[in-house]
Amino acid sequence: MSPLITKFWRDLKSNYGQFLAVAVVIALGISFFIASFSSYQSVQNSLAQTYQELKFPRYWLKIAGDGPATLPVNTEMRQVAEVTLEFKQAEKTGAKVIGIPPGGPLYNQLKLQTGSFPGDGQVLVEASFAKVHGLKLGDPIIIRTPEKVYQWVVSGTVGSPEFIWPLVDRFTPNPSPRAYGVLYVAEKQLIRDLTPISHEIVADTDNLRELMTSLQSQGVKVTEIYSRAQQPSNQVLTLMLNGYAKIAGILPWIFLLAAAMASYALTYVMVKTQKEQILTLYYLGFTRWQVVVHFTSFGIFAGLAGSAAGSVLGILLAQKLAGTLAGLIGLPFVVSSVQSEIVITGIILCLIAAALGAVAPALSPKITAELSSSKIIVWQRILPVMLRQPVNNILRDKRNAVYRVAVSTLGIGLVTVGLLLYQSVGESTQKQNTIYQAYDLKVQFRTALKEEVASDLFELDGITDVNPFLEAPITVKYRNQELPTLMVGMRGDMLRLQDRLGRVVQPTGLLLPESLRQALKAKWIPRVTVTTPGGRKVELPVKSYVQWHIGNQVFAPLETAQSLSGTPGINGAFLRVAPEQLEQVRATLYKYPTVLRVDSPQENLTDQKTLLAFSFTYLRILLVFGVILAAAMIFATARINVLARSREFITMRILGLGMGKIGLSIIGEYVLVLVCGLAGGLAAGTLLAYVLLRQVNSVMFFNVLTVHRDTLGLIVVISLLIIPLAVISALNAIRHLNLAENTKEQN
Amino acid sequence: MPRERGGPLVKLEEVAKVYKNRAADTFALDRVSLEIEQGEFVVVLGPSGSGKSTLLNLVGGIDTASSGLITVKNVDLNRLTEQKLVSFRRKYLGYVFQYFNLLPSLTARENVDLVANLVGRRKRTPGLMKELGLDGLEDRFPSQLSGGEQQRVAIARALVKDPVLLLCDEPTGSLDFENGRAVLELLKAINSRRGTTTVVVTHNTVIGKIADRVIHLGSGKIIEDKRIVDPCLPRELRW
Repeated sequence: MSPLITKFWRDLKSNYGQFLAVAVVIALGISFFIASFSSYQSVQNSLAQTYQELKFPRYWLKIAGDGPATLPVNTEMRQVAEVTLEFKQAEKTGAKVIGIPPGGPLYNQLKLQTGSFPGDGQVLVEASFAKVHGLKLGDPIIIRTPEKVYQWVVSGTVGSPEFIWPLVDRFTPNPSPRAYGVLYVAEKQLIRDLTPISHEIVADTDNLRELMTSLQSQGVKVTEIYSRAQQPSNQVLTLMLNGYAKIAGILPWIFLLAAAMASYALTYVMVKTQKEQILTLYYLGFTRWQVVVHFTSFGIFAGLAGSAAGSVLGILLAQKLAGTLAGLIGLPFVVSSVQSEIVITGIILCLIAAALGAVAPALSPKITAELSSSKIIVWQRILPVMLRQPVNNILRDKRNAVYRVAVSTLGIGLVTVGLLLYQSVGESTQKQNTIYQAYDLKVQFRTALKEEVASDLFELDGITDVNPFLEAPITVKYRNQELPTLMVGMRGDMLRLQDRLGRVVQPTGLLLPESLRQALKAKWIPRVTVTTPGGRKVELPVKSYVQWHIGNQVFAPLETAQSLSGTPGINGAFLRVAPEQLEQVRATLYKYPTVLRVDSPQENLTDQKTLLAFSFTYLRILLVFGVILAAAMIFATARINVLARSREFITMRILGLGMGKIGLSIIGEYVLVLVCGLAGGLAAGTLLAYVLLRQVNSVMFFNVLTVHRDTLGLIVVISLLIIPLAVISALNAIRHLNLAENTKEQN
Repeated sequence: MPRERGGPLVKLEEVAKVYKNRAADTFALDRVSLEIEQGEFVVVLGPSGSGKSTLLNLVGGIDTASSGLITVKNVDLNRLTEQKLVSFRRKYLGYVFQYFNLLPSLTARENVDLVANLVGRRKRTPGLMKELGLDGLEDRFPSQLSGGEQQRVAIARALVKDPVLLLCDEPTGSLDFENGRAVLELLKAINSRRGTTTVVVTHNTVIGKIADRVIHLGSGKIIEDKRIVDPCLPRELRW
């Protein structure tokens, strides 16, 4: 073995603590990289496989009256009924019942999770609905139509590609399983027992025009069409996954940057501590290239060791994460394989990062230069003596000081990003359901009713206030941008909408949510063109923008919605209810056949949090990784710093300074470095969280960055907790320095 | 086989080395001219800051002159590319340092092999180490050797490539009298046995007594260049 290689291994062995710490940072970097990209890919693949296996169609067409005599190719017609459910004696919800044709559906096939397909008098229950309400095989369910009441029995639970994210409609991404369910019964039973029945055509064709021509030629009137991209569940899932892809695509690079920085620090210190050896090598006839390769090898080796460990950790984490995330979404098919190309890319990128980090100091033209002497600069004289030494220690090696501050900034920045994202997403959801939606129950009617119904509701026992509303589908257009949404025409104060400054705004004019404004790609929208499904087009002035985090409804006075939709009545009401009578009021409301469903913001919040667990899980992992990485980097830096100044520490020990005094002298340094890192880390972390939220925000999910003093305080506390770790690590390294050998070596 | 004497091996013509500062330029060497013959044992004397080490670095191709001509073995060092300079150093020059500059993570033998490998003469290491009295110390690390032993390893490392020019920077500076004298005996023996041209830079004027020629430097200039007709033997030295 060449003596230079022997030297490499011996140096590695004698500094194993530093190498290990750097390898850990690199391992964390690559594992997060693999876990992020791979889990995203797996969830995407799971969704794709679910759609493929269960024949997710391309179009949904709602039709008025009976269907066509001859169905066009690649289409299927199905019967749907809206009913009210009652089960477990007290619980009541609205539900959609879909008929299963003999032999099962051609499209939107069902994946049986428990039980069997329904026979006569039986129903299959959509899995998330069954889970929320604890419905099991054999449980009775009472089905109420406006005309009749039946008691059927649960035959099983199923997953459907249409209801992976169960939604009432495509304008409100509020998950609905608590207040609204999907049931499947035999088509024969549905036609026989349930009225009224509506018809839908699902089509798996590219040629919509040909399909429409065929239906029109048979006199079929299509009332609503939406594509796969507009399908409610798919639309929300796509938005969520896109947001996930953006976070999963940006953050791992920061972890790789950390790996490069760790590798840089290691090589920098190796070069610095061995500068006489480097000079000797040059004297002896070694080329610059040989010296650079030798010192870069330290970083590359740490990169290799870190990559090996990190790949294994990343693969395990990716599999676990993919399974967890797919499970949280409720995908019936889960593909949790780790893509080898992601692992290979991760390893290559990590090695490149480690090599790039290492090659910079190895190439440093000042490798033989002496450290700048620690001159006392004038302004330092004004510092107290206790602070002067740490400041001087930091300033005498500026490059190392910059690196240490950069490490602290990166570590604290990562913790800040994780905490702020976690807090912002959680708080946005919380605000919407507890502050903006200041009602206790929201009742939705099957069809529009006269406005006087609001007064009737007020008469019901337990209801203390009623705000009627009319929800009408519209399309909003500004310049070239056009978006379908829902207009909520309302009266009263039970929606406490706020502008971006937090001021309450009453819907005395058209209020646009910030998400819609961004989707319309404009900073200021004076007027919008509103189009109804009937083709009516009106220009309306925009009064203000409001915060609305889940969904993209526009808000207007009730009269505006009524006049625009041509519907004089209302199709729902917000209710304020005496707290102790909430369940009683809900049960009373469901007795009315005109009531489609009754929602509670509190329950919505719970459901949303359950379904947003997808995002929260990832953010939790980010936070944990961020804290570990920050600690590992600061630990590594502390050890490397001792390596760089071993002679100084040995001298201090030989002179009789105890570990306590040495510890005190380095605590000052770490505090100063951390203070600089805190300022940079908090600023950088907040900025990055803001950028990430903007990337993740969509027309359906719009989170606002929330920064609380408490959170910043928590970050400061976490950072301060890392100081003892760094000091203990440094002192431990100092304690293990070999005084006798190190004083004898001249290098 | 001792090399034949005759003809300049090292030639400096009007060589200057200037360090530019904001305040004023500092001349580490100020238009120095000299020739060193093949096989000569030259001692360069001078106080700290006189330009001794700068002279050694320039002759060794480690540093470049601000002006003037430096040739070693008729090769103009200023005209060599970095790569050719490395190759030249590797082939013809040997170095001995005040602080030995052994790589601490390599054993004595590995330190010598480090250079032997570079020039493809690994088989020479055992014989050379024996010749320099390092028998039995081959597997010790520098920290396990005395100063004198470390310097002998450093000399073995310099000699393993059989250099035409041996450059020694304060080779006794870190050693006690006994060990210092032993190192000088070794260097002198190598010079006479092999004819290796040797340049020793030191501030210890006593060492000048064993040289064929003594050059005194002061403030970057040659103050005196004197040939010694009848040099002392190292064992006769006292300091």
